[in-house]
Amino acid sequence: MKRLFYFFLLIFAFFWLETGLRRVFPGNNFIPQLVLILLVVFSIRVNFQELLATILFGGLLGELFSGLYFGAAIWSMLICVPLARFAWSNPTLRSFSLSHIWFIGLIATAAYPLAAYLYSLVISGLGFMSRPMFFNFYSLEILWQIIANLCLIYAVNWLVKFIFHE
Amino acid sequence: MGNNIFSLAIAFGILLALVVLNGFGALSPILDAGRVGVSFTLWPLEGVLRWLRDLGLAFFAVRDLVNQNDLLTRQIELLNADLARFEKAADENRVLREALGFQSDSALDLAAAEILSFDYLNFSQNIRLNRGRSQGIKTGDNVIAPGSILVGIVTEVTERSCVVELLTSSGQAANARTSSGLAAGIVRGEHGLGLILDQVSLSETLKIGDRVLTSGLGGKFLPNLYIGSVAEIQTRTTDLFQTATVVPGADLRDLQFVFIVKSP
Repeated sequence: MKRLFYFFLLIFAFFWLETGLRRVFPGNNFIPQLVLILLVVFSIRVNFQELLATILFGGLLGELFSGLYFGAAIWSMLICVPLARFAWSNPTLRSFSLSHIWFIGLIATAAYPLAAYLYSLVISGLGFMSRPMFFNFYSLEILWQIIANLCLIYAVNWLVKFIFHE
Repeated sequence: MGNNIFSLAIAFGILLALVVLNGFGALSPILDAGRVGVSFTLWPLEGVLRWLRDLGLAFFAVRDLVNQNDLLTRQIELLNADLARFEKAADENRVLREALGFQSDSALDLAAAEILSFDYLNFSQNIRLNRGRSQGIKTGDNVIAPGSILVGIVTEVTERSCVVELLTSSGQAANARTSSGLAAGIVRGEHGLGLILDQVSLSETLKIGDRVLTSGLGGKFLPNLYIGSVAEIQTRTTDLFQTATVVPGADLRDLQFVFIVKSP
């Protein structure tokens, strides 16, 4: 329980930093999705029940400033973070090397907008919002987002390892 | 494995429950309090980040700043001359309106608002403001920047905050005309990339640099709000209408404070 509390604290600190960066540099696609990459790192370092709790907490924080219909951030994280864990748990990939951590970071970053788009599509189908445009979710700018995330994911992995003495 | 699937099902169940609760408005006060609380705790971080940003910009742009300073000084001189001319014209206009028995323009009921956040996921063209139902804000209220520059329209209101869809959103369209009154059309957003003035008849005169204002037709947006200026005109002989690219009057992604025009 204490360990989970420290996870939540770390997630909040990352969310706080990311939100501050997004407010000072609005519209900049080179700002890393700090909460997402932290959860991706958690996906390879904590047990599944703890991971789900951290996803729900991180997703709920994401909902605070999400421009999408409520639930999109939680849903997207519930899809792409376990997906990253699944990819990593493949015995042929299971390694803490840079390339493998990049690989799962890439999967999560690329899957995140798709999950958000599908969620918005379902919500628009129910008549709660207008139909989302696919290219609003997948433009060339996602490449910058991927680069920014991959630049930081190994450092975040090291930080988590350092803080929790693993 | 089975245990993991069961846990995942519970997590999706919690998500579903939260979505339903939010649908009934039960989460709005909590989310509002969270937004205001997080925004409050962000100010020291924002101060440091803004200082670092400005330092970086100043470091890399000293030469640009000198050139800009010269340019702006010249512009101020020109604008001062314009201002004097406009003040005289406004005075004449007032006298003539009085002579013709016109009513003067009513003052807008404005509520100043701070931008709490831009779209966190950066997917949609929404901003969230720190004014809500308790300050008399309603869905459909126009939002402007200083200088009566149209920013967008309120699309969702909670007790202490509201969501504004920017004019640059592909979901927005406003009836517009040029300040000369020689062309009228519809301004719509281009997926956050800019604005397009469309549906301008070929017989109407459109020039680069024309100032585009809201016409007030349709009642969605108030009349005479500044939208931007025409930057490029695309006309083909096969087209029925002229289309122009409009540069917004303000950088809509770099605003900190705006005004909400409260509807009566």
